[in-house]
Amino acid sequence: MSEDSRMSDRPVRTLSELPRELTPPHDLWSRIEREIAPPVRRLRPLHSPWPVAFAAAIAGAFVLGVWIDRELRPAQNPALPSVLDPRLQPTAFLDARDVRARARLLEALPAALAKLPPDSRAKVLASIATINRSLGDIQAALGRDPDNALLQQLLVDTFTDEMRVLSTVQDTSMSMQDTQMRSES
Amino acid sequence: MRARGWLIGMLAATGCAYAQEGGPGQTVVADPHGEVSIVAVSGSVEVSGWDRSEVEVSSSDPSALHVTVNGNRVSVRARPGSNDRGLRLAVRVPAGSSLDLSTVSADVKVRGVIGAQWLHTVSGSLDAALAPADMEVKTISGDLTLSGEHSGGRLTVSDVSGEVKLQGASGTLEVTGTSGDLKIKLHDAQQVRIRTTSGDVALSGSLAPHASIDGETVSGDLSVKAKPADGYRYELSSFSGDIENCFGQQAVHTSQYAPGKRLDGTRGAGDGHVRLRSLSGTLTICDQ
Repeated sequence: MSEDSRMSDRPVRTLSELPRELTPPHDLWSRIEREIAPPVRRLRPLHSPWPVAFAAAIAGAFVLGVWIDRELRPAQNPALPSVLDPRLQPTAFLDARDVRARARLLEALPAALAKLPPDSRAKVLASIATINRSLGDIQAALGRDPDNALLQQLLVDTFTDEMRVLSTVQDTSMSMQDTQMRSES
Repeated sequence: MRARGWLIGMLAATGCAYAQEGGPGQTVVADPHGEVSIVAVSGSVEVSGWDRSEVEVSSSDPSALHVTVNGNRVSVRARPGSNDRGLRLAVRVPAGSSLDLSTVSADVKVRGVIGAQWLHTVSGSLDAALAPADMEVKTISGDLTLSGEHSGGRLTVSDVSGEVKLQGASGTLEVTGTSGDLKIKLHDAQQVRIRTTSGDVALSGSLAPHASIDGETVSGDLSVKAKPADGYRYELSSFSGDIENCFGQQAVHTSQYAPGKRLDGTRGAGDGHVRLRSLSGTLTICDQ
């Protein structure tokens, strides 16, 4: 048994019996520091790519939506838009080849749209806006139910549909040019 | 006397019709199973199949026509008309020809061609008779009307914003739209794939034995009221839309915490298969 513990066992009758100095144990301050420090919140590891992809896709849909909105008002903004930001891509849902193809189609979209008749251009832009709204709706639903297989399937299919529209516009603008050249030759 | 009157009447009517087509054009000898390619930018194009081995082209402006023959391929090019309404073009082709037609804003009508067809337009309307061969019909914003009997071939229809009306489709059918409505009447269809984003889809008619239908929309309503030859298994799923049926069955919720409904079942022998899904559109299935 140590001197200190013997002292604590014995009743103290006078002040002189109290120790003149008490040395705290070595780990006391580190323990206090741990007690009073604010709790560190650990980030939950991301088991699913959906939240990041969701945010990226929402941002992409927003940018595209703003652009389409501007495009649908040709009187205010008659010039076709600059190239969309290729970083805003649904990389979580498409394979690398599709992502590259989509970036190329988006890059070529303004020029392709410029070749379409004005009424078709307006309808195509309205359809792309519809697809973007739909993507936003699906992504919002996925935010509530990330593991829903139906929503995942709809999202992939709607991206595929967007690709179909973009490639149709591209093909059509090229074939229009070809049609006009062939008819004039 | 009465017969002479009829004859005069018929001739007069033919003359009027001929005048509407715009006058004489060009006629070239053609392979009865060759290929006819037609390119026109605007105006109207009317193509009809006939039993002669010739291609006859007439136009409201014959000087705008350019017809060439290369092997078994006849090529018709029409320069844009000088007036706002564009060029009116009428082409008669051997019925067994395959047809490759490309326009920008011209309205197109095709009748009596039974060979394979590729019909592409940007904004013009397209009205074609279905052929017992492969057909590919594409438009951006034009309305499509396809009717007749289609069997043995594959029919692929792609439209971005126009409406599609299809009557008598059989065999294999794939229709993809974005915002236009699709009205499709099947005639013993074998394999059907339909997809649209916001357009409504109404499928009706009859299905062949072992037929399959795969339909999907995001926000459009999708209705299948088709009579199956030997019944079908069906799987309908919607995230937030309703599911309706004429079987007296109730759709079930897929989750306790999230929206989502499903309706599964079998009608008759269950040889066919119907699979419909949507985000928010109403799904309807009925076999009557």
